Amino acid sequence: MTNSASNEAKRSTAGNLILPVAGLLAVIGIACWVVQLIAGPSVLADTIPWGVYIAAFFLLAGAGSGLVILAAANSFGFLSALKDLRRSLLIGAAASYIAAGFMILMDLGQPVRIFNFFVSPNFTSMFVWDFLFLALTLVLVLVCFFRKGENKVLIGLTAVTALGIVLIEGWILAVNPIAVWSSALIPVVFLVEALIVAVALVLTAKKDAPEGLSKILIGLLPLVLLFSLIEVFTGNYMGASAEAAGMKLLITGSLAPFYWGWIVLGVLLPLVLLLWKGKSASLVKVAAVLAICGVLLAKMNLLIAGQALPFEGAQVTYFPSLIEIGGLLGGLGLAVFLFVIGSNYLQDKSPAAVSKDE
Amino acid sequence: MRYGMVISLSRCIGCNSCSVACKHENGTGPGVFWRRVVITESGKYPQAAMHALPLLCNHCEDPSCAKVCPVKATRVNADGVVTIDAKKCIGCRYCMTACPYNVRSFVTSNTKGYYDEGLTDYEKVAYEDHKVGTVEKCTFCTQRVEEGRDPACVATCPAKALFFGDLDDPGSQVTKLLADNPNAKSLKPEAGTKPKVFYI
Repeated sequence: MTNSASNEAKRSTAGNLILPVAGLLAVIGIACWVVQLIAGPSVLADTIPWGVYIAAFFLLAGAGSGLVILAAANSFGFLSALKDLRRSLLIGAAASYIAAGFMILMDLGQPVRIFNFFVSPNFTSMFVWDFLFLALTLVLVLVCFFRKGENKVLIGLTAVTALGIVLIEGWILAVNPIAVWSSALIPVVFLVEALIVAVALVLTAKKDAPEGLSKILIGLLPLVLLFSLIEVFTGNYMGASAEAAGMKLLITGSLAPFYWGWIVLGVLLPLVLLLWKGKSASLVKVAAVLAICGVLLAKMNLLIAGQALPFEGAQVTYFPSLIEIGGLLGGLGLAVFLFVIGSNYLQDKSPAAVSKDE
Repeated sequence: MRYGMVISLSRCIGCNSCSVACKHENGTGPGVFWRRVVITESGKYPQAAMHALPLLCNHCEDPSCAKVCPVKATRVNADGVVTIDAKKCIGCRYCMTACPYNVRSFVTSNTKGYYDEGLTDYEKVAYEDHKVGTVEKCTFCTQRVEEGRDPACVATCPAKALFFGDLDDPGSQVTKLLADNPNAKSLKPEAGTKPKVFYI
């Protein structure tokens, strides 16, 4: 057997394993949810209101939006490297949004009452805006996918609503009275992170990812680090403020290992790997996976730093419970599972595909 | 009508009787405090001092918790009291992050009582009012106020540091206290929520 044939066989084996592994993770996640539903929220780490489920929700919703934006960019003549991937991007976006919805359901204390969103929606709540934008974007993504032929207006509109999801989720934190979150930069950071995850997902999933995508990631990673350093400097400059106390947690406090861990493993290491001249395709994938994990860690750091110092209260610590970790893996597994299933069974059967084949 | 509270910081002795009375009246579980007293220290001996700051829901006129609640479970009643409809709350905890005072609690279990032997008869009855998976907080003891009584914390305070009444009634004690103390403060006024709990 030649080397290339051997490599191809290894890839094929790895490819065959993705679906069962992702499916198993999804089943584990659903099992954790069932345990949570039976036992109640006492199985969750409840020292802070929003923990790993919300971080995963932000990650997955951002991933979906990033993928939609990449697909739209390609439709409008940019990122020609993604030419043949437009429908895969849409499947990935739909899978991410559905998994994001699963994470929110897991987070709710009374998930059965989700129907209250329809019965008595409060339109001043950004959660309702987020819910509406998510539902609308998911429908538009599916319409774009199943529609015969490409419609620039439609994909453009979908990209706008997808952008809306990312901005709204940034604002959900930014307009809060929590000092660490009160920053107009957060929606921008969420947008950059969404694009990082989307590009990294393409680099991870595509066999021979074009060099141009690596360069985009090389451009985005320093940007998100720069934004974070700006936040830290701004928050710390005046010394004895609530924001400075939160930032201090990140720099030298209990969250420092996670903050510096994010910088080293989630930003600098992927950058080094991507910039390395002799890098292999596998190293690019490792860099991409690290970048995705880095975004999840960055969101966790932001969430915890904002809630660890309650008003006139003692500092609290948070670490996800086993059930939460299972739920997180389940959400991520569900996204991959739906993407692979969608790619295998929908890709070639959509009218768009038929049209293309013709 | 706008119910509100005035707290005299010079009278408060930081004994936490109000916290205990609240737990007794409302039957909240271990670790849940609808109101608490924060004790801080300042200065150095011989000029050292202790300060007590009772904290509870501020029943704001423009509450951020009500604004962000996606299903209108939190609302401002006609009497100015901010309440949560436990039958509507979906347990998203958005209100908990939006509250500038961190005075809301998430009910995670109604099976953990104060004693190893299991729930007492009182806990069994009281915990039925606390719906697992929902958010709850101080209600100004609506059940007592409707009967013409003061909230439990006010009735219990041994230092008579807590005053409750109608801020719209010129003859009420709270209105008179605020008129006599033009420097009365509310917490985090910069949050723009217009609290109805004042400190003198």
